Amino acid sequence: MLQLDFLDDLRRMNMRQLFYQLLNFAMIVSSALMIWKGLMVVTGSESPIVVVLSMEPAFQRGDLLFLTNYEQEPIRAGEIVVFKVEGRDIPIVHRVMKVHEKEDGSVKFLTKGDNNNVDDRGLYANGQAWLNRKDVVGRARGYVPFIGIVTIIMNDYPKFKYAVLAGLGLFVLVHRE
Amino acid sequence: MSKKSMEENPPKVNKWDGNALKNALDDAVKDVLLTQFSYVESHKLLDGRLIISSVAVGFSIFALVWDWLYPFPQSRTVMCVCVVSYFVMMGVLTWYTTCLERGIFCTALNKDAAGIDPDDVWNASSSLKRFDNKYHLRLTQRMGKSGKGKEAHTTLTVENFFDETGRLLYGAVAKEVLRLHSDVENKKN
Repeated sequence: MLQLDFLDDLRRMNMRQLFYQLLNFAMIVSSALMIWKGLMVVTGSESPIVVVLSMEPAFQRGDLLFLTNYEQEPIRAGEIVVFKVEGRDIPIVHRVMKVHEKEDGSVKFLTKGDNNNVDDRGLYANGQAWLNRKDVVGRARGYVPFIGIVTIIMNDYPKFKYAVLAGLGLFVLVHRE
Repeated sequence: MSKKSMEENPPKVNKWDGNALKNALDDAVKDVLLTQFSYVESHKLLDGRLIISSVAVGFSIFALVWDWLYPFPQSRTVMCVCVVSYFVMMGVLTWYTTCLERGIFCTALNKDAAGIDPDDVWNASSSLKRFDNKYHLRLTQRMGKSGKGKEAHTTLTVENFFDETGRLLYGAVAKEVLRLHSDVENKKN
């Protein structure tokens, strides 16, 4: 039964057509990549879309946040920012509690998650008591509820992620336009 | 990879998949043109598409590598250039497919025996609308010497060229193509 009929199309192709199938696949991946990089440039943030993990009741787990990171905009208490602690990869989405600003524009600020009882000093690097401007990935501008659950599932079950990506990739490679 | 000729081993496709039917018919027409006459296939059209796509993917790979080597804020200008160039290339590709290619799936050259005169260029193009069963085939001949062009087209009902299992009826296609070919050749300009 497993006759691999779907590969027939590929078998009948010459070198040029096979190369075009590969390019087709590459172009789809590239389009996604270029849109992401384009968003990075436009918003000024290195990670313009993040998935929220712990900010109830403002955001539920799995919400998708859109960020901007313009240099001119000041950070103010009460705003929701996304920051990265030095040495760690995961961006954290919390609210700014206190801000100290010097005349030259440099800032130090303290954050706390709405759903946490204590401020984030426990999360910062050893000996660090305040965050700087450079730790900020961006400020929340808008959000789409719930869609991020897919990303959370894919990260919790990496095999699922690879299976989906492999399946999609295979489909594009084999399917003739 | 030994390939049986299409005449001996016609392809079998999913008869409900319009795209597969069109591709099978295109392949058959191309096969007839290249084997029944002593034409040589010209790959220029497809090569153009390959080059444009490769350049676009090249920009994307370059952006990927550059951003990995020089993390974001520094790579800003390069990113900007790459992203814009990529989408410009996509635009070029779309223009190329819509205006230049226009459904042409085969270009065959009738080379002059003596090798002196320029070749005649035969172009075969086709279209099959979604959920439709009418396959429109158009054959054009542009004389190398005079530059003049002649064309003829025909509309085939798809069901007549595949059997119940979805296997292509090569003979029927060949008959149509030969008929169309002599139609074009015999037309007075």
